[in-house]
Amino acid sequence: MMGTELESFGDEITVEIFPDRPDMLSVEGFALALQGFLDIKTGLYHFKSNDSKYKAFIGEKVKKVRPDAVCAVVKDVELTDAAIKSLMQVQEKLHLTHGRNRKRVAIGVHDLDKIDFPVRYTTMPKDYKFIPLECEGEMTLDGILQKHKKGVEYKHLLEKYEEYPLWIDSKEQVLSMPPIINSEYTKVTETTKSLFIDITGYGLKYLEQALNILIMSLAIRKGKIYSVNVKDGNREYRYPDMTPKKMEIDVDYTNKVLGLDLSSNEVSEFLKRMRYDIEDKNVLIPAYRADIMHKIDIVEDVAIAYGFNNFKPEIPNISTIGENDPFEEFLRIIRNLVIGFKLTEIKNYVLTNKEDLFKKMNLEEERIAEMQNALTVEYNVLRNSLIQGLMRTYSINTHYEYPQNIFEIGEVFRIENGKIKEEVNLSVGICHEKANFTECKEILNSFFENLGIKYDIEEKERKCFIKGRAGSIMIDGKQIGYIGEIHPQILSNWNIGMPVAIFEINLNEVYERV
Amino acid sequence: MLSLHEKKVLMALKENKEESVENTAERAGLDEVAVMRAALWLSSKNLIKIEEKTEKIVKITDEGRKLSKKLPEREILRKIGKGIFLDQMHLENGIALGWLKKRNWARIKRIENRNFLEIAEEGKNFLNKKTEDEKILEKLQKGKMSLQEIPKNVLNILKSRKAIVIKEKIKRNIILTDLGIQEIKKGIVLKEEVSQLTPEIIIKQSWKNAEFKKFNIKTDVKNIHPGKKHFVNQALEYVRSIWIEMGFKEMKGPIVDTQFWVFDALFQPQDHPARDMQDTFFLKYPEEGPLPRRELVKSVKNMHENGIMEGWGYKWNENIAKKLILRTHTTSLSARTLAELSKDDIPAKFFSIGKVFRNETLDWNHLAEFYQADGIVVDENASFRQLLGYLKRYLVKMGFEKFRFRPAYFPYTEPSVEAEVFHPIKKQWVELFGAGIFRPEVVVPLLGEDIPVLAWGPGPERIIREYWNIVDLRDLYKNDLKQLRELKLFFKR
Repeated sequence: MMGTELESFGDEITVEIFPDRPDMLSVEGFALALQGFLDIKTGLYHFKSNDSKYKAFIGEKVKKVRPDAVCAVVKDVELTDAAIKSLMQVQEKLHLTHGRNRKRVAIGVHDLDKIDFPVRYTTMPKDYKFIPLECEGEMTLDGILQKHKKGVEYKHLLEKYEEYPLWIDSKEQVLSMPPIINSEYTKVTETTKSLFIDITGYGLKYLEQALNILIMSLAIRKGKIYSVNVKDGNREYRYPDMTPKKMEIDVDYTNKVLGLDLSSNEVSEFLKRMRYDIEDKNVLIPAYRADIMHKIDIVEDVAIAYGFNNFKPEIPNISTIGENDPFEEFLRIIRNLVIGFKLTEIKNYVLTNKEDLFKKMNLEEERIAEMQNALTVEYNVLRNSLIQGLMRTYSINTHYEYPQNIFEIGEVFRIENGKIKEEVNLSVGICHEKANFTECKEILNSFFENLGIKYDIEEKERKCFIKGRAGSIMIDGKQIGYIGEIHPQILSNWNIGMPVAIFEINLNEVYERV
Repeated sequence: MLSLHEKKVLMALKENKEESVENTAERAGLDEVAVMRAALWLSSKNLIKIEEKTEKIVKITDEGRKLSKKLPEREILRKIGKGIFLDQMHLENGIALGWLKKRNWARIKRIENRNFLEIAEEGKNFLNKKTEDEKILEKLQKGKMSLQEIPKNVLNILKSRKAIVIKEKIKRNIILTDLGIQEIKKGIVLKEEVSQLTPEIIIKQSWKNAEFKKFNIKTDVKNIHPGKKHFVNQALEYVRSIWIEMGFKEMKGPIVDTQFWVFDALFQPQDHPARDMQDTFFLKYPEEGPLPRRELVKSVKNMHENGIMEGWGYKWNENIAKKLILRTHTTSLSARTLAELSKDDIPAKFFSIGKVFRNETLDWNHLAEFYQADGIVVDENASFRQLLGYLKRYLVKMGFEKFRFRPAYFPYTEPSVEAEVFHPIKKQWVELFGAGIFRPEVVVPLLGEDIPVLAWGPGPERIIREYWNIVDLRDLYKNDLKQLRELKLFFKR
C-alpha cells in the first residue's frame, strides 16, 4: 500500500519499485520509506555533511565528451557483505533506469585511501594506459573498448569521440574511465573504510539525484559524509548537497485534488510519515527524492499515507449523455446486415507483409505504410486492403467443412499524397465447391438494396481475378470497390483447393451516401 | 403404435407364424430392407423374434452358363455315331476328349496308325439322357440353389469346371411371438401413412384417410451455423455499451500518429526508454506527420523544458515529436480531445476503444496488436475520491465484488492508482487496470488551465480471455472457423 508491489515474501522479500522512486532502489532507501509509512520513525532523515579539503577539477576537454560530473566522500562506512551487496545493487539499478543504461548517469565507487587529491576529470588519448578493474596488466583506453567485457558493452557511448574521459589523481593514477570501468588501483575491498564516489553524465540534475540517493544509502550505513569542492571553469560547487528542497504547502489544493477535508495538522502528519518535514508554510523535501516536480507529487504522498482504501469512493451527479461515434454506429449496423447473409465474421491484424499483400495475390506492389523496426518480417507493413486476410483465413481452414462464407470489417491504410489515410473496408468471401461470381454479386446486391444505395458494376480486370469475371463497384461514377472470382493461380499460392469469389468495398464512401 | 410397415410384416406372418425374410417381403409387398427395418422395431417390442442361419448357396458362373448351353463332350457325342476318325474331326482342344474318356462315353482305338473314336456303353446310355450334373446346371441357370441340394460328386464336377461359385448367405427367419399373435388377434387395420406433409395432401385433404408416420424426434440432426459476429467484436460492443450507459462520449482518432500526441502532449520526456525503438513501432514510410497549431506546440515545448515548477531540463526537439509511430496507447486520443475542448464543453466524459501496438514478438501472453480502452472525466470539481467512485462503479458493473486500490505509477498521471480484484479461483489479488489524474503539466497546455482530468484505461482482453477460457492470446485472431462457429455468444447480465 506504500506504492511498491510485493512479489515474494520469505527470508528475503522482493518488491517492484516504480520508476519515479529511484531512492527506494537501495535497501536502505526502501527501509527509510517503510519506517515512515509504518509510523516507526517519521520526518526528515537528517544528513550531516562535513567540510573538507578534498578538491576536484573538471577539465575543458571533457565538456565536449561527457560534460557533467559530481562527486563526494564517505568515510567509516560499515562495509559488511550485506552493505556491499546493497551498494552494488543500487548502483546497478540506478545505472539501468535513472542512468538510462549509463548514458545519462554513470557511477564509480573507489577506495578513498588510495587516492591522492586533488583529482581531475578530463580526457586522454586512446592510447593512454591503465589497469582496469579485475585485470592483471595495463590496457589502452581503446583496447578496453574493444576487448574488455564492459568496454564492448558500452563502447557505443564513447566510440565517436577523439579522446575518452578519465578521473585521474594528483599522482597520475587513474581512478576510472566513465562510463565504462573503474581501475584496479582504487578497487573497493573488505579492508576499505572510506569511499570516493564519482558520477558523470549529461544533466547535473540527474547526477545530483543519483549522488544523493547513494549518499543517503551510505549515511544510513553510518558513513560520515565529506563534501568535495568541485571547480568547473570559474564556477565552484560543493557536493553532495543534502539540503532539503522547499515547496510551499497548499492544504486547500491537497483537499481539492483528493476530495478530502484534511486540516493542515493532518496533512503535516501524513507528510511526516512519508519522510517530509514541515517548516512554517513549507514542506521540506528530502534531497534524495528525484520525483518532486510539482506540488501534485506531494499530494500523491499525502494520499498514500492516508491509505487509498480509506477513501470513500463517490460519484458526482454530473449528468452527461453517452454517445456512440456515428461512424462506429454505422459499422455496427453494417455488421448486423452482413451476418444476416449467414456469413461468419473474421478479424485479422492490420499489420501484415508485402508477400501476403502483393506477391501471393499476384498484384503489383504499391506504396504502403512501412515499419522501420518491426521485430518480425511477418508484421512489418500496414495493410491497404482486406482481401489477403480472406485468403489467409481460407488457407488455414482447408481441413474444415465447407461452405466457408466469411467477411471482415476492418481498418485499412492507404497512401494519398504521401500521407496515410485511415479508412474502414468491408470484404466478403464465398468459398465452397460451387462458389461463383453470381452468388457473390447476390450478396452485394442485397447489401446495397438494404442500404438504399444505387450502385453499378463496370467490367474491370484485376490481376487477382479470373479474366472476364472481375469488376469495379461504382457509386455515382466513383469506384468504391471491386468484385470477382479469384484466379486459381492465387488459390494455389495460398494452398486453397476450393473456388473463391469475393468483393471488397470502402465503407467510408458508403457512409457518405447512406 | 405400429407403423404401416410393421403392420404389414405382422400380417404376412399371420398364416404360418414363421417366414423367411424373403417370403415375408413377397407377402407384405415390401422390399427386404424395409422388412428388416420393421422387423427390428417389432423385435424391440417383443412382437417377433428374428432367427439367423448361415446358409451356403451355390450360384452359376458365366462359364457355367456357357457349359449349360453347349457342353463340349455332348457336342462330340452327337456327332460320333458309331465311331469317327479323330483326324476327321475339328477339335479346338482336348477338353472334350478328356471328358468323353472320363465319363466313359467313348474310347480311342488305334486303327492303321490312325486314332479312332468309338462310342462306349455309357455314351450310348446318355445319348438322349441328361447327366445329373447337366440337370443341376440347368436348374442353376434359373436361380441359386442351396449347397445341400447338390450331391457331392456333382458339386466336385461343377467346381472343377469352374461352373459354380459357393457363397455364404445369412438367412433370416421372422417368427411371431405369443405377444405378436395376441397383437394380431386384436385386429390390424392398414391405413395409408403420411410421411412428409405436402401442399397436395393439405388441399386434397387426403390426410383424413391416413395416419401420420411417427417420427423419431430424438435423432441427431445436422449441425448448422448462423452468421455471426467475431467474438472479440462481441466483447468490444459490450464494453462500449457500458461506457455509453455511464454517460461517456466516444472519441476517435488515428492509429498512426505523431509522437507529439502519443508521448509529448502527455509530458513523457523525449529520452524516456518507452520512446525508443525497443517497444514502439516507428514508421519508415511515411516517416513524419503534421504537428498541431503553433501555440499548442510551443506550450508543450515550454512545459517539457521548464515545467510548471520544474521541467525535464533538456531542449525539447520538434523533430522527434514529428516522427510517426503506431500508437502505444489510446491516451493519445484523450490528449487530442482535450486540445479541442472549450470551457463550455466542461464537465464532459469521454471514452475510446481502439487498437494499440507494441513492438514485441508474439507469444501466448503478448500480442503486437491489441485493444485498449480509455476513459476521461473533465470536471472542475473532479477529485481523487471521484476517480475511485468511477472505478468502483465500473468494477461492479463488470461483476467484480471483491476489489481494492493501491498506489501505482504512470508517467502522465499523479496520483496514480491500480485497481486489483480478488480472483476467486486463483485465490489471489490480480491487477486489473490503471488509473489516475492527469498531471497539471499535461492538462495546462491542452486545456489552457489546470482542470482536473480523471483517467483510466481498462483493456478488454482480460474479459475476453476469462469469458471464453482462452489461454493463448494468439487464439483471439487465429480465425479458426471451427472456433469462431463454436464459441458461444457473449452475454453478461
